Amino acid sequence: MSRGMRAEERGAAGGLWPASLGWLFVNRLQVVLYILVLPHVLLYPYMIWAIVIVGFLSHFNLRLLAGWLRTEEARLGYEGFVRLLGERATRALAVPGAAALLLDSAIVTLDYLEVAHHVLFPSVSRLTLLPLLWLASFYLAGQGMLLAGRFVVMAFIGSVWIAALFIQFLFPPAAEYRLLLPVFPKEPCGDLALILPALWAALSGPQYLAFAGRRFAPAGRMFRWLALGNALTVLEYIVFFLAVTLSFGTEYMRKIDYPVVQLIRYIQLPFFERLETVVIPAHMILYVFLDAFFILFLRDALRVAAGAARKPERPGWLTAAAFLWVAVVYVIGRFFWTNETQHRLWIHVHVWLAGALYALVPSFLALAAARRRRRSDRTLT
Amino acid sequence: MRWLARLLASLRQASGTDGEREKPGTAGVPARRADAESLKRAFQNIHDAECVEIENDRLGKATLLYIRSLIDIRQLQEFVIAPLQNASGADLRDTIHAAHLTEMDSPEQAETAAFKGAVIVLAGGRLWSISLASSLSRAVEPSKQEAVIHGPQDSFTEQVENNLTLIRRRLAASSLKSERFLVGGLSHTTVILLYVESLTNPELVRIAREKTAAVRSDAIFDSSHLSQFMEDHIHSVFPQFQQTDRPDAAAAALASGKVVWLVENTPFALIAPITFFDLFQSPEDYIHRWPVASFLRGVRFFAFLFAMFLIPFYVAITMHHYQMVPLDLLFVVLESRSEIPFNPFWEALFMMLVLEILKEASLRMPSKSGQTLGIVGGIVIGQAGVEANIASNLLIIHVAVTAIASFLIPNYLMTNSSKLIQFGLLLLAAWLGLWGITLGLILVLIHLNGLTSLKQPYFAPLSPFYGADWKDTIVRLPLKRMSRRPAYLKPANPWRFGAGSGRPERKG
Repeated sequence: MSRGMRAEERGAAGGLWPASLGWLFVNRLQVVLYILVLPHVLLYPYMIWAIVIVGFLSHFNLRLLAGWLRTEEARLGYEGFVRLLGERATRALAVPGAAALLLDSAIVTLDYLEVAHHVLFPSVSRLTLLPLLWLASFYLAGQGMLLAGRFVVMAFIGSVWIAALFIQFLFPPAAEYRLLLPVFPKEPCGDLALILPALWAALSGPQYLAFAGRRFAPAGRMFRWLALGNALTVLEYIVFFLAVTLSFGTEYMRKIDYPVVQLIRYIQLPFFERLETVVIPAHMILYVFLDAFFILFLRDALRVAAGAARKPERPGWLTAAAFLWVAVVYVIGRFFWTNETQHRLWIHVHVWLAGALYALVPSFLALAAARRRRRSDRTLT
Repeated sequence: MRWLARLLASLRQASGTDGEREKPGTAGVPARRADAESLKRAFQNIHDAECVEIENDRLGKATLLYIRSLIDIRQLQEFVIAPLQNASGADLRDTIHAAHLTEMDSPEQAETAAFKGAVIVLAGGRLWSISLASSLSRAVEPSKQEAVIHGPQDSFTEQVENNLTLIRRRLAASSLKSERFLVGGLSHTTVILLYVESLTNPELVRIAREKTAAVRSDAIFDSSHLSQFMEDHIHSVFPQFQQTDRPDAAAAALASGKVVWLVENTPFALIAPITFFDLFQSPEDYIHRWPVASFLRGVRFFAFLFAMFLIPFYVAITMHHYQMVPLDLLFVVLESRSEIPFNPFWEALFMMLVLEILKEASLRMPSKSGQTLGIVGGIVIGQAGVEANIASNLLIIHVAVTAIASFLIPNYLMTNSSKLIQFGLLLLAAWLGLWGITLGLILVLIHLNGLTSLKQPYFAPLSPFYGADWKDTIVRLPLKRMSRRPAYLKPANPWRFGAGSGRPERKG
């Protein structure tokens, strides 16, 4: 039995995540990356409507996800996927799934390290911080999926207050309301083909919950919780977007990197200023949580791909997943993320990858479950 | 009378089923034949062991074995020797009317009883023990560790039976169960496990019972020793059992669905399961008005964070992030540090070590020397340190505030745990500034997330999240609003306000 499993047993007070944790999962998985980079993509004030529209679309996607999480197959974990897709297909899909997960997590992590390097330690290589972030994530992953999932409460409390710092920029004298104009575009906007996928990707993340169905306690209100998380994310994005737009305006936003981080610099307290020095480290708690989650999912994907999902779990799988994860992140960071052009390329890759996963995973699983249900109904009749 | 029958049945069950628990004398069962010589051999080379032989026409020859220093000699003469000399019946039970006359199963059991202050009587090939332990006990005094201004002023002593009395006076209910264990191959320490049967989660009682029975040690001298054998995570810096010398705190824990251990020769009871937040609560919280109690609790949490983070934060700011300090304040910092030859890390490390040395010294030194220590520590080291440019004025203020803040944590073990974390954070702060401190904090949070106390989550009600339990965590809402017991304990009876509360006493 693995160390993780033993830890799960130790903390087995309840044994499952309550459905009410769903909104925290959705919210924190969504905001993890784009809260820092999204206002850089959304330059025009009228794009606030795009946030709302894509938020609604995400809402429907979450309905599919909640529907899948309610199915018996989702509760069965690996056996449920086998029942749905067959063993060979499940194992075959685990390989690209693990690759996509690795790529997704590597880009998210490297982007955070890039921000930390840019703002906090310009003289220190961003990869110097990677082993420390990995260590914390590995430690959390070692506690098992149950306890790592519970950590979302702390990840939420440890990072949600950052949004509150920006509320002051929504009101005068900091806010220049004329910068909100035009509220509606005067002519068709050509950038929408890039902006909408970026916004969709900004709401991605909850798709990974589809593989943790057996961890949730059965509850009929799952969709309400997921929708609440999504609504909170949309609200946060609107606050960030408005704060940055009302303070900087479109023209200045074009010229700066990380406008959200730049805006924090304007906050002054009696004892401290330059609060980005506090905010960027505080944001790390989200990445530790997310990376631990990724390592645990990667462990499961590796076990499935290797055909060891039914065998008793050994701690070696988690260690292998953790080392594979850090190796991939390091290789990408060291050799394929060396300049700004590559950085932008990776962000584009993430937009399309995360967006595609978010669109496809819930719908694919919900459809497959519905198809199986129809088949079994037909067999019964 | 049904409750009495149930009580007797449960007592019978408790005394007869569990192999690890102490087996009381089984009256009515013929005892194993034992010879006086084998028992005497066991007491060889013990200068205060005495053997008295009494001849009586009716009873025959009776041999008394006891340790003189452990028993009350006056009672021995009055209640044992005199009746034996003048015995008129053939049965020892008719001769000696002592309350604690128990027939022993084996010489080993008799030997253990003798070292607990019993007189062993060997008569007619049967072994008996009569408990005549000398009452070597201090009076019930106010608590020194958890002193309160208002509220009960009694505290536990080293006498486990007295401690049990103090709890039973507060919880006068037949559902308060007590199970007795003997732990320690040499010390034979009596440990009493207490729980309220009608409300404590039976799973908790089972775990507590198993853990107590599984203690394997030659000697248990203190409740801390016992707790270290029962902890779920032996390498953690956080205490997983709460220790209290206050009977009201122990009774309150029992009433909320927890389990309490009383350990012989220890004035501290153990309480489990506990959470991280329990360690910041004081019995006085329930005496103050709820807004005041909530404010004071908040201050305690703030002081804990202050004690842990203030000096690492100072080091991080002065070594890595001086741009965070407003210009006017920066001048003060620079002026204070301008003559110091060390970097802030060494300066802080040195001062923190000095503070710990002073604290340790104040604990070990005789109380009359305390004033000297205050002068040496405060004036000589503090003032002279600044004048000699070893430490800055600003750091001295930080160290003093940290020291005072650490005293606000009601739990002594927690105070010491926070010191270790503080040193770890100091190292991280010197290396990576605020990023390092945050990393350290996240590691601590992950650690707390995985901790358990008696297999229950240590970081509840935060992780796992129990919304209702926040009524009595950082804030303390009115007692009337706390109708439910803590949910993380999964009590058998979750409601605090049940039938029978506050009924008038019936006379006659």
